[in-house]
Amino acid sequence: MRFKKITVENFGPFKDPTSVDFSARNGVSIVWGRNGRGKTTLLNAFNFVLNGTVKDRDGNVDNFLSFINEAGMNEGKYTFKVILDLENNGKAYRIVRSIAVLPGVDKPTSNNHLHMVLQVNESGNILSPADSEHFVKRIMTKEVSRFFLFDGELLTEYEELLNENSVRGGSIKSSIEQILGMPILTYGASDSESAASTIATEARKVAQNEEAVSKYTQKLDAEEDTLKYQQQELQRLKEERDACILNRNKLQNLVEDTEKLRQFSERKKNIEENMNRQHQICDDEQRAIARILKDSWQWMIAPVLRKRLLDLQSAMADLHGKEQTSKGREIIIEYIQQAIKEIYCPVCDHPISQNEREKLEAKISRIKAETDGLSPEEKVQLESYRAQQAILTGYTSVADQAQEIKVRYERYAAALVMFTDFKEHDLREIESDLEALRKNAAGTNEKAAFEYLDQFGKVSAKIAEYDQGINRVNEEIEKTKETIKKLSMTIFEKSRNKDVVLANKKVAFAETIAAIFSEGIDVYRDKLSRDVERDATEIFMKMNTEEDYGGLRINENYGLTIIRKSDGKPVPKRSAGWEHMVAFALIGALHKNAPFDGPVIMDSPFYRLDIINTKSMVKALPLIANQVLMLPYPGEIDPSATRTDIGDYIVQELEIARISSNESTIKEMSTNG
Amino acid sequence: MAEFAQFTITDAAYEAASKFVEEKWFDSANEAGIFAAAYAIRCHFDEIDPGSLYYPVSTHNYGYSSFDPDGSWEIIIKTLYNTETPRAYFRNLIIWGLEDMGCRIRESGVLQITDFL
Repeated sequence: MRFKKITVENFGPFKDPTSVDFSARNGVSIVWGRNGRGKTTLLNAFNFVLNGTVKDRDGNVDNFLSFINEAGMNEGKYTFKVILDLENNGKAYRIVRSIAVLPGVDKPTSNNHLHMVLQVNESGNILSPADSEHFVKRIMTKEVSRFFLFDGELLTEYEELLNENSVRGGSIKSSIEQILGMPILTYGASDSESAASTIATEARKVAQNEEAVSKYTQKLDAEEDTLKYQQQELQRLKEERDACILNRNKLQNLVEDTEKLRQFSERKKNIEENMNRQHQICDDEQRAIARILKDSWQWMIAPVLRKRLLDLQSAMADLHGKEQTSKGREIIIEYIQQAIKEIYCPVCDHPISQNEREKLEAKISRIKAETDGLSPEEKVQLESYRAQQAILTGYTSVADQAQEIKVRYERYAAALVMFTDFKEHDLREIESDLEALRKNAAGTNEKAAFEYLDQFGKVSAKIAEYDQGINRVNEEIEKTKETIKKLSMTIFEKSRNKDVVLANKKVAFAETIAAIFSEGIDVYRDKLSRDVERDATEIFMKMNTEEDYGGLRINENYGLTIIRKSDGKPVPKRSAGWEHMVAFALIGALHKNAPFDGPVIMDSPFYRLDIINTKSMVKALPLIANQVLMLPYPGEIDPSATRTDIGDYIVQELEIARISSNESTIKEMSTNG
Repeated sequence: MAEFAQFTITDAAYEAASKFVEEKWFDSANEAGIFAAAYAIRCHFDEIDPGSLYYPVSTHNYGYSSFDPDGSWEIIIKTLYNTETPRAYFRNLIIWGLEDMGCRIRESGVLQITDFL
């Protein structure tokens, strides 16, 4: 399929009929447009003409009223129209889809006042409305169109494919299998199974009147009721699980969005715990010091008292010495006096002469003159000193605890510094970060952030429970089906009715066909996976700028993981830019493997990429489809670099130009653009 | 002659004592006062003569026994300073110690208990 021309009229910012002609040549058409000029409107125009749907800037779907050109509306024109000329299988088609006002409505004020009109012209013949509908559905279903018409944001959806349990991923997987032609096989399988079931039911109705098999048909009816109940239960469990998965996905986003809030909150908690620890050390040490200080006066004054005691002891020693000398001399005098009295010297052991007596008497006088003993005052003083010594001694034996206080105080001061540091810097900083995060998170606080995580855990556990339940019901369903099969075989074997016998053969045939289709699905799905993986890898490697990235690996959902060259392992956390490129490679691979081809329209597809990756992706554009229409904004890609890199593939460059605030037009790109 | 049973301390001394209590180093101003007297003797014994100090009466009134419940200080000071008015000496030591510590705290901006040991 090739697009030839698209024309919009009174649609979005395009009031007058405005067209984009696609060259007959394969390649890339670039339509440049600043924000708000009408790039997304053009993408909407394709969606509208092919699927009858539009999505406005706020995400509202099918709000057609908002797509009527404002200036046109002011002039009383309440309709819009999109015309797509295309070529498919050698025939020319024109699809005209428009929005018109319902009869009897002068001025529409709601979408209920509008209706949609579709007309398809096939090689000059106008098709009936039913054929027209059939034609547009056949050339591109809504599910398939997501691979042809997409914007940068839609690319992010493909990240869901990596999540095996994702409902949205499952839906995209189903779309992927549609574009790859899988429905031919899946419908074949389900139709064959349905035919076998219908024939078997009819045959049983015929056989139930036979006495030989009636008891088996009754059992069969009961088993079928059981099967019906089990299938309803399975459906219920799946629906409830899917609702949980949706809820979990929402929570997952919230959990991811609030990750920093939780991290910072944990950090704040750690800081507060550290603060409390230091505060506790301060408290403990201060209390210990305070306990020591209570009786500190005793050891504090002890050194002074000891010094005083030493002075006292010294003074007392002087007086005591004087007292002792005096006593010694008194004994000597007494001794001499006795010798004089007895006229005999006991030392020399001979009588004392008069001359010696005179010498001894002179000596007594000399000794008396040299020794004066303690004065009465000195004696009082000595006694006073002795009393003071007795008092002070009692207060000097207390051990000094100043050193212990100093050691404890050092610990106290260090803890206080740390506490203050935590409080003044770390805590203040984290509180400021948290405040900023709370503002950015539109009022979400830490409590809510932890609740999201808690709820996420609970919902995940519930999903696991549902999965277990689903597995159990599936096992029961298989058993019931086996029982039904055996009962059916018994009925067919025991029945004598020729219609039943014939029906048995038909059922066997239909089941064989269904089995062939089922096997075909597995084989085809396996082949598709391998082909998509190979082609996506080829495209990805042409864009890849990371030396260690060796290729892509596909999962059951068609989700692709980048594989490292160095160790053959998946790259665990990819940036948004790389996710974007992988999604782009997947789309390219799907186009290569789809049983039909078509143009690709991309709106602002590079917004998540850096300069180098944007350049790589631009180079890969010609690989993904024969016709590519790219709608970048100025600055999203480098015009001159793009012309250098894929110049041969650029078939035209247009720009969406401003006429007024509510009106744009499309024209050829000016040469200096 | 029996000495006084009540005495007052100056505003500055009271302020310093309150600071020690406020920062939890002591449970009461009395404990801080006893510590201050001990500090004055330990660190400034040779510099000060408690007998020559004079501090006016103020409103911060205390019972003497709340500082010296068993009379130890009275005996020690009497012995240490050879005075017959040990309670007056003790009061002066308390006030001098508190005022000096208060002055040092103001100068450094921080109460560091180890500065007074």
